[in-house]
Amino acid sequence: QVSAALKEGRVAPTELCQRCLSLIKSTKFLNAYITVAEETALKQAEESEKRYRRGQPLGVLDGIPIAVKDNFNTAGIETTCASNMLKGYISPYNATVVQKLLDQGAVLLGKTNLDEFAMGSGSTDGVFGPVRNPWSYSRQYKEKYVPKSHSEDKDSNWVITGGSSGGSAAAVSSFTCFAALGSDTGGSTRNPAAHCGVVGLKPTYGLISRHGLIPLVNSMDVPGILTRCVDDAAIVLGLLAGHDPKDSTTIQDNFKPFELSNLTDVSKLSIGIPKEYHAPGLSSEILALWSKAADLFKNAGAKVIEVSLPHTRYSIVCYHVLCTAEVASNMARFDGLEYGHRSDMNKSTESMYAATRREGFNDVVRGRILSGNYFMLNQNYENYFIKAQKVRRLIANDFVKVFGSGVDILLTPTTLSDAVPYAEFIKEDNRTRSAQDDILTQAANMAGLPAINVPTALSERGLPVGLQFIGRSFQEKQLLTVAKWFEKQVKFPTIQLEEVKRHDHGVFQHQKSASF
Amino acid sequence: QKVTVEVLDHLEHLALVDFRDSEGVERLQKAIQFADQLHEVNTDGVEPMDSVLEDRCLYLREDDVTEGNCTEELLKNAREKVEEYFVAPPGNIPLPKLEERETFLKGS
Repeated sequence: QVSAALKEGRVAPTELCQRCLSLIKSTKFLNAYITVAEETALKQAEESEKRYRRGQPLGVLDGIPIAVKDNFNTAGIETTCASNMLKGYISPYNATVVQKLLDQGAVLLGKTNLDEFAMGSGSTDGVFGPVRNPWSYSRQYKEKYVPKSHSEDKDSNWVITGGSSGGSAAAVSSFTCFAALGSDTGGSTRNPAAHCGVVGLKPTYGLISRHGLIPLVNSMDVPGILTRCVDDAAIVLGLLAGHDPKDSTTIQDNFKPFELSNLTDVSKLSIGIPKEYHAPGLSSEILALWSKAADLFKNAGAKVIEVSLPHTRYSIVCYHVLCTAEVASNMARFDGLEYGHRSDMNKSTESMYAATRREGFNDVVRGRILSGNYFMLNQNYENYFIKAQKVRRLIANDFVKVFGSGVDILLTPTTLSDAVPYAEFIKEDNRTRSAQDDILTQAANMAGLPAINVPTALSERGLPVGLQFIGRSFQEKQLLTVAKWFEKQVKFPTIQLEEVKRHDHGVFQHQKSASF
Repeated sequence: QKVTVEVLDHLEHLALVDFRDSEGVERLQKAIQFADQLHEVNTDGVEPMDSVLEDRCLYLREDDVTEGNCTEELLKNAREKVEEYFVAPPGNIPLPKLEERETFLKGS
């Protein structure tokens, strides 16, 4: 919609950019952005405006403000991964996905906040502080909120965004940008998408280039796309997907960008409901929503069947071992010598490295490095690392079997509950939280499959709840087509934020009303 | 089984990251306990999986230089440098032994 507005001249790129920048300023309390690239964004907007005046926009994304998670390299802009280790690090290059967006004329507003090095499921463990879920300030949440005591601090009931791409999700949810990049290794794009009521797409591993994405787990990481609707996600996907010679883990097949058709007949679809996703701790609210969604498909004529992915419950343990092992390897590059933080200790190379890493990494990162190294010790390698790799194959095979039996798409919950208040979230440590929260999203990363969170309804507390669709490898078109159909049926409500109302013009409005 | 101090020391050497305090060591213990659940799964006859793209040929490009000449740019981010060199403190000096370095494990 906004792209059409730009084309028709109803709004100018610079005006759009200014409005987004000023909205970022007035929603600063969300802490969604680590760096706001005001000057460069305005310049990009000006260039875009010139192109529109000449009638030569680069494409649909020309002039559209976007945000990028701070673990993607952005030339000339600080990239910190929310860690002391990279504070002050100015990337010398653009990640491929960033470059692609810029080449299309997108306006990069800034870098969004995350858990340190993308490790976490709350966006609470970065050095710049936690990200606040915009829905904490929505009329919908405030109306339903019952304070536990009279003396309770008014500001203490805000809820988390989920993570680790919380900043990106919050940025999209609060209308400060039209699309944002996240990353997804265990659910890091889908989890915050669910909590913030936005669409979060995890593409198939190998579809989108990871060049420039600071790696966590090389065999599972993917760039994630966060938008306010499925159509937008398809557009961004179309611009980012495809082989990159700089990332040899991208497949070489030709990728054809697609436009989503409006599915009217779902009778040929077979939707699988994996029973293991009825995980312990799943809230009764979400269970009911999941069931309602299944009925929606059934009533529309689709075939809805229960399926089994028996190794689901081992995906977190498996992830735990493989992730820490790959992290131990990937974090080894941070030694203070070529970039990033460097300790003043200079008695020897090794002691400098040790001191640098001691000063630069937080407990979560250090913990994973040490665990990873443990699992890879000679005496443990076979029993832990190799064992986990075998279990990984079993998990991946579960999906192959199910999709091979005629199921087209899997429908599952995305999270166990709606967003919890920050005060409650921090009572448990990062690893425990991640283990709990990732259970519904992690297996898709294990198997490399595409998955998407679609905002479905508001919980009793007035907070977003989303459902997840998992598709076959490289079948994003089918996945998104079904997701779009579902999105249309549920008509998820728009967030009602004071700040946005003040800045509101037709451009930011979307039509929905609560009805699911 | 608790992890021995020797192994903890060894890990600090390998990782060049320290345990900081008893919580750090506890964290590792818990992580190992958690990972032990893997042994419940029967993986007889199952091959380890390195990558989900294992059925495809890895892309290899021609060994041609297509970019570079960015020495100045790359040096910008380094703190200690001399001309076109990154400067490191003296090497070949191993990390001090357990008794001699600043580590939480010392008292164990």
